[in-house]
Amino acid sequence: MKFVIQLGDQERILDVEGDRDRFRIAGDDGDRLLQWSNLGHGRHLIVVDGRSHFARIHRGGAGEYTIEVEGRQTAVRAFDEISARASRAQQEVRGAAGPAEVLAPMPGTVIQVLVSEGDSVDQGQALFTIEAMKMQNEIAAPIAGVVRGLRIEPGQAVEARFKVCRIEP
Amino acid sequence: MRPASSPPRLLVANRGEIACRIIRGARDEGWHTIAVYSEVDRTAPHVMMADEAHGVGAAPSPESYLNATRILDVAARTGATHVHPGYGFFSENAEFAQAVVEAGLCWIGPPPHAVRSMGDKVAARTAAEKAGVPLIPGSPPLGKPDEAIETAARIGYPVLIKAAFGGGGKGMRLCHTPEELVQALALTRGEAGRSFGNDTIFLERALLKARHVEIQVLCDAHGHGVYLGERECSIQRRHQKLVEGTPCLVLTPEIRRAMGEAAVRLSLGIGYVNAGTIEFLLDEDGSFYFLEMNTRLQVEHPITEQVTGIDLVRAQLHVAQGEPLPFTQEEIVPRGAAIECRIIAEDPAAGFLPASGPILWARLPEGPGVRNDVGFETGGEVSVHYDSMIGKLITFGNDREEARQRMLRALREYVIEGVRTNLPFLEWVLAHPEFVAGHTYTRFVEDHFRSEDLRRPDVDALATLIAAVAAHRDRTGHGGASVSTRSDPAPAGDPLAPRPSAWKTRGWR
Repeated sequence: MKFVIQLGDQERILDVEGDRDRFRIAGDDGDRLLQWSNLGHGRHLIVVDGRSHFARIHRGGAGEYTIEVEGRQTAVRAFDEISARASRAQQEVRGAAGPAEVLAPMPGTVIQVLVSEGDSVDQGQALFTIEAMKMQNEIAAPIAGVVRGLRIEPGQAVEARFKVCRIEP
Repeated sequence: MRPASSPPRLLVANRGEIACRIIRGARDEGWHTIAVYSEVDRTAPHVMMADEAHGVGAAPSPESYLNATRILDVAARTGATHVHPGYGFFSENAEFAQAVVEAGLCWIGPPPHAVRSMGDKVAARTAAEKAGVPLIPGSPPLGKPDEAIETAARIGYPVLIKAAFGGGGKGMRLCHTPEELVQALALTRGEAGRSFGNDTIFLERALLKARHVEIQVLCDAHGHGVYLGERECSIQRRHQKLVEGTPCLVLTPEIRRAMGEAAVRLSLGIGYVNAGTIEFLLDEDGSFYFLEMNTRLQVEHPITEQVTGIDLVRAQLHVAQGEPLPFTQEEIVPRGAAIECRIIAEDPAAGFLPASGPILWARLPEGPGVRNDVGFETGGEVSVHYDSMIGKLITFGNDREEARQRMLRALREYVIEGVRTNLPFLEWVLAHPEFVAGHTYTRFVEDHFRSEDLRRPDVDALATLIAAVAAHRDRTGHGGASVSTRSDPAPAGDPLAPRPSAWKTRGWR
């Protein structure tokens, strides 16, 4: 089965064939062989080119996988070709003109709100500061635009991924 | 009543790795240990390790680990005879130390008046001056912004604004210009008022290529004090230490002795008893300046223990009992070198955002020259309520290079799954050519580190392969539960047992 794999802004097409635990993966740089064992407790033993790795696979929705291997958590999206095309089309519709959602990156306490509803902000401009684990962090605007739907105030406790506001270009 | 012969009973008013460290030290002395815990720490390692443990309240620190009434109540109920505060929490709180003493208990730490005098950074500078310890050119406490600008012009830019009651890197800002200074003044004052309950600030000249070098001292109640060598802690981020080492490569025996003697002079001058640390900045020309004194056991104390052979926690217990120091300055001869890395739950590739969550799997490095001081285990949880530093990895060897190689090896052995950590960042530091060469200074990370440095194309490629196979298995019905499961079901039989392999039968290899 062919998959489009996205990692950051890179995209690869990989063709996977195999049964329960042994797979051949064909890519533009040749074939790789991968051995897969479930170890229980969410762990897997992955063998590639004679090297053994422990890995965890965290599944999100919509083809999202976070692969935890070699001490790193790498976010990857894997689509079969049809859903990849659909997703790309959707991205194009949203395109550069769409609003950007600003989420709290972690649970914590809002210390300062540096913008007000309706403010115009530049990309990278600090929107608010959040304190978690005794460290203050500045959260910046992902795109330039106007602040809408701002719903935090100083002292407020927020969960991770709490919707703080939208930036409308 | 306890019989007179029964061992002392130590209440450890802390959590995490330092609580474990203190419990171990006390047990090595045959003491009875009493842990306290918050609701989320019910099964934490320090709780399981202690002889007994008692809940002191809800997860937020002010309701538990900073709840003096509850902790003193546990001390009374359990017949505690001693209290050790660790670092953080109550460790530098003179009022709590006083309350412990007034409750008739022995405080494992300096006398409250010494904590008080060093906790006020302006008073500390005065004490240092009196003891003839060199100071960074700086200012008295500041009033209006105009005064700050005049003072900064006099001492010369760049300057650091510091909160008089700050610490641990909080309440400090670097300014290169009067404009930056004006902006930073309000911010620092606000932060100081919120964090330390006092918004007094002062200025200091910033030394940009200086090393952070600190001296460990140990003083008894009989007016004797010794220094146990230095620790270089130049690898910092936002003034938080990340990697520490001893000895400091550029310290000559003469400078080491001068710093050590200055540190002991200052400590004895303020009537200090117990373990303490005097922090200095060491400039490129070999001159050193007093930064501050930490009136507690430091996070990085293990590297001193490794090279001196002195167990600092046990030494603390002894001197707190009124015993004289069992060694003289001449008898302290550090041997070899040691390095410590702080393991922090954070994402170094994403601006060092703190991370939290369950620790699904952990395996600590072992082998020659490796020591682990940790406060977590598999199945535990990194809570948002506490410090994100979850453990320390210490390596040692005959010289710095041996300790460094061992650290790199140990970092690569280290496994923590489920929570992002700074392990990749630590590996970057230990392998950096400038670190290898010993060219360390307090702005090392700021000057050298770019988050792209942590990219590992080989791991990306591996993750891509695994994701492709995972997606394939999910579609062919082998992937276990379909979405948002954190684990696949356990397999039947031994997954690692050899099988008649398709790798052979299909000629894959």
